[in-house]
Amino acid sequence: MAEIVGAFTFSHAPQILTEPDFGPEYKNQLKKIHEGLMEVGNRISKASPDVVLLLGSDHLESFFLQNYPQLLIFAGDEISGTYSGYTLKLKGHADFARDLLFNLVGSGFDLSFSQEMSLDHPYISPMAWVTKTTPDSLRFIPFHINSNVAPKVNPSRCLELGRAIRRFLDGYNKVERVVILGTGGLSHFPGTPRYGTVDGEADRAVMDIVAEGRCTKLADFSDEWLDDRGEFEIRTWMTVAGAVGNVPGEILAYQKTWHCGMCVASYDVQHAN
Amino acid sequence: MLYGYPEPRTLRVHKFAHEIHSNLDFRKKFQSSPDETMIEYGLTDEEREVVKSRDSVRMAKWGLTPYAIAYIEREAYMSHKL
Repeated sequence: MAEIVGAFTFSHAPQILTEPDFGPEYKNQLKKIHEGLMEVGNRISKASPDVVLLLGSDHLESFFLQNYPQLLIFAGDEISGTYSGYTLKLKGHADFARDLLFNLVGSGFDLSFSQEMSLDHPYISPMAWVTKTTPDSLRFIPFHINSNVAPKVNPSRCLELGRAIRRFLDGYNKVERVVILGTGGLSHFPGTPRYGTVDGEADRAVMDIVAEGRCTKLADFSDEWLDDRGEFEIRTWMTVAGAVGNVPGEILAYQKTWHCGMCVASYDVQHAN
Repeated sequence: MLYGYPEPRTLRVHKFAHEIHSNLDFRKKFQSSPDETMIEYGLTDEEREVVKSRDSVRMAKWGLTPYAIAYIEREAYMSHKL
């Protein structure tokens, strides 16, 4: 049995990496998010995982309209990407990824897979900070859950995917310790007339659910609610919830910036195993 | 509909927006001579008008995804990443 030894969800806004000059208040907001992400790195390091599942969602960057996947696992040995001049290189775990791929397909999730792909901002932006406090030897498996290009993965399906991952881990003995990460959110409206507004009430609802240990309830939000509130990217959070169950959560950081509610959350996985 | 399906007629503009987003030289070229760059790229009159409108509602109704819209609105014309 592979044990989940850490679970975290956090925003992936490009500005976390690019740090545009929007004034001192914004700079301070980003600093708090950076501190939260580095704390995630510290906690991952202490958990000493064999592999880290890194759930994110492409924005027509890594993938394009010639073939757009709903679910895709990276099953190669190494992966990298450059965003805004910053290059992130991660070691993969091809054996674990292959086993997870076969298991999930066998259980009804028709995953695509890639052995050669480029990472982009949904992974690079937050992981540039998380990996400041993790060892270089850490091995990651990026996993795309389409949260951004219609039609997006159904929320209940995201939850079920997490549960399927958990069942796989419960029966898997080639690794012992696994961390699961979900990137995205919270409220924002890129490419729409509502860009520059943030639904703080919706952010609070999401964070309350997490903090109160009811995270599987995130999947009760409808596709329409998620779009209307700018919360569509919490699909990765739903999958993390499916994997860990209704464990208590901790909000390590939250900042309502002018364009995005940025959040870093940790889950008490002692109750998950 | 804030986040609509990418309509097939928008494919060429999606590719154009992706080039703006991922290719700094192309973005600079567009910024210095937008009409010439769009014509060279092969955009039709209708497609060029959509891009030049910088109108997110119009672009969304036409069938562009928010990310193509953001790449056009914010990167083609405002010189910074999303």
